Amino acid sequence: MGKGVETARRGRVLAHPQDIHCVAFHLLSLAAYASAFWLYLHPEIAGIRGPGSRLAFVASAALMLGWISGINVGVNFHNHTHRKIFRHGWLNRWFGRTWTVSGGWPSYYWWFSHVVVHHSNLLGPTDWTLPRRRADGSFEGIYRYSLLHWPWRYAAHMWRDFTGNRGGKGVGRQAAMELVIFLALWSIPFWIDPWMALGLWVLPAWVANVLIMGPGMYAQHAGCVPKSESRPFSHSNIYLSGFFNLTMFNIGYHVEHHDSPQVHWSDLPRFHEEMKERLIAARAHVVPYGYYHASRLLSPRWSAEAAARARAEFAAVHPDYRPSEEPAEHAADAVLETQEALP
Amino acid sequence: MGEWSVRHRYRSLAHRLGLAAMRSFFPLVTLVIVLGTVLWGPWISLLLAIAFWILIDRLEERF
Repeated sequence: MGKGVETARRGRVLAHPQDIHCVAFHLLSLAAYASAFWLYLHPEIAGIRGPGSRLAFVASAALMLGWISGINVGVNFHNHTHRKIFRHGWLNRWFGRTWTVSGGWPSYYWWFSHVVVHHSNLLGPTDWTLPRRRADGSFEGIYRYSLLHWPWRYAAHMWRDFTGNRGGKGVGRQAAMELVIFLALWSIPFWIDPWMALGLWVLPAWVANVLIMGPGMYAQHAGCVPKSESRPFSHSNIYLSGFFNLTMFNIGYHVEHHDSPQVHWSDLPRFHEEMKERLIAARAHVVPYGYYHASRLLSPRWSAEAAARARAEFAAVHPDYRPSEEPAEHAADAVLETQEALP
Repeated sequence: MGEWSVRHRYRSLAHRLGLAAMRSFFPLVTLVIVLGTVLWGPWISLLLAIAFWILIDRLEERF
């Protein structure tokens, strides 16, 4: 290896050139929080002249901040839990700690629930990150799951896991230390202004978890079954909306991600193309839209007909992913069989 | 040859900037809505935030 190449590699901070987008997303998110705080504290600049306009500002900012926090933790930091974006351990740890704090999560806790609990036991009885199942095997409703999971169920499960040392010895001590660091960072907005912290820190965290991450997690595995020889790719759904994957770090390629979590997020579309024939042959559930539309399809409907239509739309396979020898309606039927777990 | 290289370089730069803007699409829109409050006030920001939540569903369904 040439001396110049070696020196350049040694000086590189990022593990992968595309990870610059992860850093930019996170820093812009922090800038958005800082801007909202600054305007809240200088109401005259933002045209806030009373309780009504202050409420309007807080509502608009909380909706948007919560949205980006949901993506920043549930997608962006998520990629970092599988493949660290920096080449230095201390930078990975501390960047990670600032990464999840706006989403109301200690980074270690999110890593634990995702990697130790979810990935290692996908759709199994000990994967408590997913929706609970009803007696008939179907997922509980998307609203119930999203409202109850964060922070209530997460806290109860993690308490049990950390005190029981799930994941190895020393997990409980590490969790306690990370909680202290998280609380120190998370409390900063409260020291500045407690009301601002409630509106522009706690409320966006709720939006991030309940309205963004919860439905996203639900949509990733709705109607899925544990991996088996006969159903190797039915453990997750694949979402192919170009806009969705471009703005969401390719999280839609979820079968590929679960089967090979070490594949870099920017390589997932190419990896997907390599797997395409096998996905079609195994009747993977591939759809042409993204999580937002899927969440709407999976939400309760006013009438039984509307619910059936939404269910059929969700179960329908992307036209390019139907086995060629099979008519479209048969392909949809085959997927519907695996969609028994749909609400 | 030189002209082609310059054009190619600009095109490559534009592609990179476009990609960066799309990857950070959500925080950029958030910054515009939050900071735009200075220009158009909090009520318009609230309307924009709600419209954006509705629009995204359509965008990902179409593209």
